[in-house]
Amino acid sequence: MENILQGFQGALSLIFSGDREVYSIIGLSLRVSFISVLISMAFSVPAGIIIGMREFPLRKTVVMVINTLMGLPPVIAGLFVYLFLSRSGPLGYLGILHTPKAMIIAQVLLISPIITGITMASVKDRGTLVKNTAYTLGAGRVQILWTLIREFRTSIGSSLIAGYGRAISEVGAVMLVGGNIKGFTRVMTTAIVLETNMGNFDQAIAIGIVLLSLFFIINIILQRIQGA
Amino acid sequence: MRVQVLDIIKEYNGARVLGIEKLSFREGRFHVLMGPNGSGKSTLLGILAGLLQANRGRVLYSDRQRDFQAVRRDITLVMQRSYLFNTSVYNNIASGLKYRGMDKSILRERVLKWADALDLNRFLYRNVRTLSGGEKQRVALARALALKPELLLLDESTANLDPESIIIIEKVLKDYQKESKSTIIFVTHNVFQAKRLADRAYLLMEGRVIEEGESIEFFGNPNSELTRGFLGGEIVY
Amino acid sequence: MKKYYVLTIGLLLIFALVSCGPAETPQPEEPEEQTPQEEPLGPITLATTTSTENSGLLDDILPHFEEKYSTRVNVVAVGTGQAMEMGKNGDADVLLVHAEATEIEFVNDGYGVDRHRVMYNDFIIVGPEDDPAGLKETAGADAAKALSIISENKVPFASRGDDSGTHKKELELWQAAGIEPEGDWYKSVGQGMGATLNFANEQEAYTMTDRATYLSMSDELDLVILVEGDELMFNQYGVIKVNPEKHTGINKEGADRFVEWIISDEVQQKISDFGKDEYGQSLFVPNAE
Repeated sequence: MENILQGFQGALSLIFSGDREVYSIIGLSLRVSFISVLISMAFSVPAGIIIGMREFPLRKTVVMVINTLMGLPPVIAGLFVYLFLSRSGPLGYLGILHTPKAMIIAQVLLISPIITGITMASVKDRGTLVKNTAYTLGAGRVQILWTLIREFRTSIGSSLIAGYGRAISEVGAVMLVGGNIKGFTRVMTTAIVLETNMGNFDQAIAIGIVLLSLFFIINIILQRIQGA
Repeated sequence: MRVQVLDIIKEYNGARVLGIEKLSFREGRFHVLMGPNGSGKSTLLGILAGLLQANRGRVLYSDRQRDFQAVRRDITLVMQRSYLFNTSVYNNIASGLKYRGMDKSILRERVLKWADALDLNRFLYRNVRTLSGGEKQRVALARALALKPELLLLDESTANLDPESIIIIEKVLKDYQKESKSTIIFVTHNVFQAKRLADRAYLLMEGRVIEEGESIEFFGNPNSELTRGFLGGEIVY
Repeated sequence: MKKYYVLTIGLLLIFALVSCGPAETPQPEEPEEQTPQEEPLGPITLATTTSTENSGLLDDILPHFEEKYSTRVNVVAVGTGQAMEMGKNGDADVLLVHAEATEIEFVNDGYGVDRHRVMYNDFIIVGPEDDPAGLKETAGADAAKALSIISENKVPFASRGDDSGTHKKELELWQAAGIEPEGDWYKSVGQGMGATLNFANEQEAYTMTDRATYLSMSDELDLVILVEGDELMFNQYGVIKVNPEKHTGINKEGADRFVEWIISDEVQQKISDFGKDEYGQSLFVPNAE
């Protein structure tokens, strides 16, 4: 009990500490997660809509693969990206290993199946009805896509929130591809691991509470905006 | 717009649902399509609207086989329980016009005109989900008519509606047809309604045209036994 | 209501974008001392071990290098094994580790250009204040003897158990004592040094730790230093330049400057000074030749 109360005190003192490093950690967590969701949704939402509604060969297989990838252990995605971005790997010349860019790439890989999968499921039943209505009203292809996104905005919104949640709580992949570099690729989750390993449980708990609080607050706000 | 159907065949899983040699809908007239369930009425409308592809045959719009995409925007379909977009009545009526990129002020005029015609002023800015079935269908019709389609297809659009809504809708349709000289193809189960509205009537059964004719002859003195039976309510659907 | 929510998210976003650490290329800052400004180098990736980073030494001395060369040193702290692998894969420009045999092999195999000694720190054996095994009197400064006593009396002992450099050192000591540690009294924790010390503290067990971590935690621990000074417990650090011929993108210039800097007299002195204020003793003994 004492530990938890201390933890809350610790969390508050962290937030108001004015310590640049602390803000950098919090800010980077938010930044990487937000950007990952933005990038992912640009193609995952349309992909989810198309896969959810259109018939094409191997469709069943694609659906199965996406549903499976939703539960992909994050650290595997991290390892995969690491091997690609390592200087001894195919994309090594880009030199982006151990940078926030690499972390974003890993996160995008992780959350895209989630966003696609949930979007897919939500358009399955009524998607064709909406599409046909728009079509008979004269909508062109792109207009139909926008109409679908608007009509299913609640479920699509949920998929984005789920994706963001996954991104901000992830630790394995960002640790691997980011390197947990102080002031550069250290985020709240990896900082917790570091502090725990060093035995600074108080600090770890404090960061953990900050992470949890931010997570809940942002989640609630996003849901309110969504109008759920 | 005159519509001609030539040698159309439509099959689902090997079963033929529509087989029509020749069918013609003259422009500017109110055509009523009748028939029991499963007779192919909705399928025919779907093909005319471009939602379905026939397995064989052609549809000519205005006597030419034009690229369907060229005439698509002159055709509008209103379904039985139309899907309305999750937004206000105003935005729904405006939706087709927005797709066409209409100028905002002209759009507004148009929307208000048709909202008024279908007695929707009361809920113009309310979300459609609060409306009754009849009110929703009126919105769907306003949405369609705002586009001033040359060919208007209606698939049992007044089925299960309250009498008041039906009266309003029928009046608006008749007025529209007179004003715009557009072609209307109206599918219904209701023989009384058909009598009220039709310039010309058609009976479909099992995907084939059993009889067609001008309203007076069709209802007053039908040629086929089947037609007589149908009009007399003998055929169960 | 909605507006406030959107506003909050907007604020958070702005905070997130603004509060991030330096971008890819850092801004040159005002140097504290009169160090001459040199040509800016690109960022340098330094692979080192977790215990090195945790000691705080790098936080203390690196800014001096970063200011002098207007660059940033990206410290990736991982296990010794992974650090060496990173060197082989070319994902680091320079390595700072403490595994002499492996380091020499690394250079001989052509993965590294050369190796320089930098400093050493030492390990110590700590335990509960009342010292149930009587190490202070009976073992003195003999680490191997201390371990034999612990083993004979089956007194609780906490081991890192995580295949780290520290753990390997501990195993060397057991080897020197000619003992294979096993039994209920030998607890393999499988975690970092800090967590292991906390564990030993709770369990009133003995453990082997590096001096730096112990000192930084001594306020919260009831454990005391019982055995120190045995040469076997010295831990030599080496710095290696990763071979730039093997991969593209290695910051050769940066690595060269870094090594030059860390073995320079000025920095060696800084290394020696580190920790003196806080703990009254050096944590690292510089010994570059």
